[in-house]
Amino acid sequence: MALLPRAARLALVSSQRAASIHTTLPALSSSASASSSTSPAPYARPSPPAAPPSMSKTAEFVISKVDDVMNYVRRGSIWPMTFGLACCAVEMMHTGAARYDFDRFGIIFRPSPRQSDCMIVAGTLTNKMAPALRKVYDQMPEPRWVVSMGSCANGGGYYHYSYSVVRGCDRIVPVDIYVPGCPPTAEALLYGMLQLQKKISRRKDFYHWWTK
Amino acid sequence: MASLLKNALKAIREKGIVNALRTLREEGYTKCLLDGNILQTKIHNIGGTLVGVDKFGNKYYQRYEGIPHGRHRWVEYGDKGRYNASQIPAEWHGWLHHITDHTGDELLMLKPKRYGIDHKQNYSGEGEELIYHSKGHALNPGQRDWTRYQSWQPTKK
Repeated sequence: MALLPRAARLALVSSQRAASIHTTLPALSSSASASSSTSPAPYARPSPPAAPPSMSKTAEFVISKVDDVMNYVRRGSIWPMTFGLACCAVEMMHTGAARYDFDRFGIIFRPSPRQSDCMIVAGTLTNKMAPALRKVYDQMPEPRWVVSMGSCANGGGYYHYSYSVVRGCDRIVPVDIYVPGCPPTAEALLYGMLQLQKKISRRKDFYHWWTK
Repeated sequence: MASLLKNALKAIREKGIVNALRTLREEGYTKCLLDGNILQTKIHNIGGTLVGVDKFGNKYYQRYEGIPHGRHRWVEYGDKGRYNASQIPAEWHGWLHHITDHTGDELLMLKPKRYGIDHKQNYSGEGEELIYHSKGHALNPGQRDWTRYQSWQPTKK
């Protein structure tokens, strides 16, 4: 029992010696007050750049309203490219059918990548299908969004350790919304699409174009 | 419709026109004009029985006669501006989706006092500071310093 405080004292002494040598204190041996001051580096993103001083308040107001109109139009007519790969596609059909009714949000399935602006990756993405997925994504016009639906598309899911499955479709395409579940309910997908609408309404395309 | 008008006139007579208008706004009747979802809920509410109100102000209604199957139970959100399906707490979610016939107030009595935590809505996209970050998450403000060693830093000669 007597050895423990002695060891602690030794550690303290050695740490003080270390402090004279090193530029910073060791994390463990320093006292409580010191450890609270050495907080880990924050990972928060840098704050967005402020508006350039040349722009007046009126101009900023008008530009933001133009952005609002653009976002309103875009979120009111999301045409998803159906990419049904597995059982999630059945739930996607439920969401499109009468009870949950994608149509009332202006979401109409469009089986052509050239005229769609959102892709719902529903189901397991296999290695064999991945090039096709990327090709379809590349054919979609800008602006485009991707909703990853279900565990398999999110991160491989049940087939994560399979030899033939991509561990998440975000390895192939950039994903905006992840809908969890195996498969997600029709309600969950609907909620995900509403979240996508919210995300679209936060865009500032015209503002960025103007201030570029 | 006549009863609705009668109720409105009664409210004005009891509270005065200013207070009546204020309650009208708080209940979301002014938002009805622009937001079709609220208008539809208000129309749906006619004839429905109020089953309960949770602490967020969401009102839960049900009606079993003369309504198509699957629309028996519905909610009028307390937040009339930015309402969201995740604002419904867990106990009422079960009732609303016909998982259970117990109302949220009944289920709330089963909620554990010691470790039951308050419901929190989904704040995705509203700002990083509002979102729940787990203990080890890089964005958690109270993140602990898990460093157990000090890297060697050469002395300057």
